[in-house]
Amino acid sequence: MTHGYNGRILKVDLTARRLAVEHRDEAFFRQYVGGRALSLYYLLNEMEAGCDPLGPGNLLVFAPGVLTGAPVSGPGRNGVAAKSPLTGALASAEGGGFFGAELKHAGFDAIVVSGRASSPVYLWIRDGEAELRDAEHLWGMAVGECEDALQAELGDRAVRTAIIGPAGENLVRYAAVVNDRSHFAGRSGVGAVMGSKLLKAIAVRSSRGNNRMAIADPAGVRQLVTWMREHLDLVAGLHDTGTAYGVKSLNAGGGLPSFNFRAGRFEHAEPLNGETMRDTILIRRDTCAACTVRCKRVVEATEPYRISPEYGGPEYESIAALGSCVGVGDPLVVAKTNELCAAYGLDSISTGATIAFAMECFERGLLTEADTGGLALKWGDGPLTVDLVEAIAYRRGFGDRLAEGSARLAESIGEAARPYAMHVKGQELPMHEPRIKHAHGVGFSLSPTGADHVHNLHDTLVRGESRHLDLVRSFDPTLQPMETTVLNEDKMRLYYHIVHYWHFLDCAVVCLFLPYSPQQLVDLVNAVTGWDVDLDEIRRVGERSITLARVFNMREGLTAADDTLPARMFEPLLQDEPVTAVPLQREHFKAAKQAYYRMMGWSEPGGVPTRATLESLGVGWAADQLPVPA
Amino acid sequence: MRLHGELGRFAPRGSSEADVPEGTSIAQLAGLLGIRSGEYWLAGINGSMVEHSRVLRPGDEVELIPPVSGG
Repeated sequence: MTHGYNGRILKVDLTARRLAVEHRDEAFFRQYVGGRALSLYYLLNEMEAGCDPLGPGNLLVFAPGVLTGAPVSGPGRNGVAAKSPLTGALASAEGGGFFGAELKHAGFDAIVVSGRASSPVYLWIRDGEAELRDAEHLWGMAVGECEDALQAELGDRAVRTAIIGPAGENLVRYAAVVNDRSHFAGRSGVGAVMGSKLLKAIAVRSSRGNNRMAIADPAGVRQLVTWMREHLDLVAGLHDTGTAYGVKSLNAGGGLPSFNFRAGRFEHAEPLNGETMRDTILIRRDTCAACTVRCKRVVEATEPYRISPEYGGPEYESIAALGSCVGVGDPLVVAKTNELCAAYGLDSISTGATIAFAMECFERGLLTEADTGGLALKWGDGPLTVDLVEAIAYRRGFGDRLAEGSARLAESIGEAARPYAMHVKGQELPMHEPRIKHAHGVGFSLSPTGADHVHNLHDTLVRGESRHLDLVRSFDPTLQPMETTVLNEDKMRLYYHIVHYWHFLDCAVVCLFLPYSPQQLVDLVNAVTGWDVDLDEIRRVGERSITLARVFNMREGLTAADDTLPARMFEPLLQDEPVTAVPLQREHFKAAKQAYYRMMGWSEPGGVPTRATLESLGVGWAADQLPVPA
Repeated sequence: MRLHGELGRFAPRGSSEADVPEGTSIAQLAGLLGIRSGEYWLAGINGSMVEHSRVLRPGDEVELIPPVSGG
């Protein structure tokens, strides 16, 4: 009997319309754990190298982890991975909700989708059985409408879903996959890959219900459940205002991306913050599988926009991207654009950031009404942003160009526009200002998925003694607090350790907002699986994930020259009062990347993983995939 | 005092006020409340952001703002 995993991978060949189950043993799950690392195993071994991300050669992997489905707060998540149509690099996004846990309970550890269907289909999984069904009647539906139709068709309101909206169908390069209507595997265009395969949805149901996953040591799991119940005060703020609290905090510190990252403060931030949302449009809080935190927002409004609670409510990233970054200070506009991103299946970060880039180009005369179909792209125009979100999802008019993302839009405008496109490797910057946290900026450049704020160091969290610093010290007790705008080898060591840990969480797959220590997660892995992992083993899972991602990206043609940061980050922010922001310095930035390559056992200056490094991680087989060995 | 976000758990029971010795700085106030130096990021007095070393005066309204990691 297996614990924590089923040992079964569902292989779906859409071209041949053939399903198969691949059996994997304990050694495989202990090595790759799930989520990102497991997905990379398949992407490196079964995806056609150099494939068109939107062609049949791409692979799409849905992967929970060994902890997903355990009856405890935190691991109610799953990863979705592919080659990204936005970056040409790894696409890897994690979503919450209940879909991942239900998939585990239904008997599968991952779904590996290859090929392309000849007409729209959906995948129906129930109790270890799977079948492809016609989805012509679902194609074109918004996410909520599609979920309603699926649950009605399958006669079960408890069916869990992963669905693409019109944005995925229309191959918007930053389309999302939506779990259970209001949870998103948002970034790097995984929804567009799903759309390119004509796979509209995955529906899954386990008649065994929840809490039936085989657990090696149930008492050990209950111990963490009890600890969490006794320490809910650690997440009381998250429950109260959600991640939207970040608006207030970052704006106060000059780090709220505003007007396409030109400014770090926004004069209309107050109406956008989490407390205001709580006191106005919040009607309840939602959660993910087994999680007692209940941090998810559910909002409702009727005027001037009808905003349905079915899609939850905006998180910090959406509020900043669709608010301050485009100069919009009306919370109802932000709630509406957030709702539309959910209904159409769009990454709200890339949506807002691409619109912000276009607004700056318009202001600078690089785009005119002749380019936009008569639209004046003015900062802060709420009704315009609402219209643009729909135009992007359906690729209507100027929306067709915005749907390509800011890097491609910049190329189509011309050289003069390039400095204003805020992206790394083609993925738009999330709503965190590198000039107030310098290693975070280096983290944007090093992330295998393009700019990312989750598998990254937030310098502000380690500037003094803190729980977060304690967390990193689990892996190196000698680490010391450092100022936010210092960038040197010591800072990169903090980055190195925390990022390994975050990648492990994306393999297990666990929410990073739970206040567990790494040792508690080690204990949880052992309680769930019956293994005897230690801190170093889970750190190495993260290291393996990062290194395999590096190999994948290099195989797909990326090099160290792609580890960049927009030029704006080396220039001062526009500020009206003294703040904590300082531009990065190019020589420090370059040295920090080299220090990181060295720590990782990658070559210098090219940042290529060496065969010895790959072998030490137990993945020597991946060395043969590198175009130019280190 | 206003202790934002997760710092709320450090608030003295039933009170948003504190009596501190003359010459106490914001950093020292945070320490008295059991808040470690890295648990808060920004400090405000009477609505303006100030250095953590700023010495408190009678009647000051103090805000402590934690760092965030997004979401």
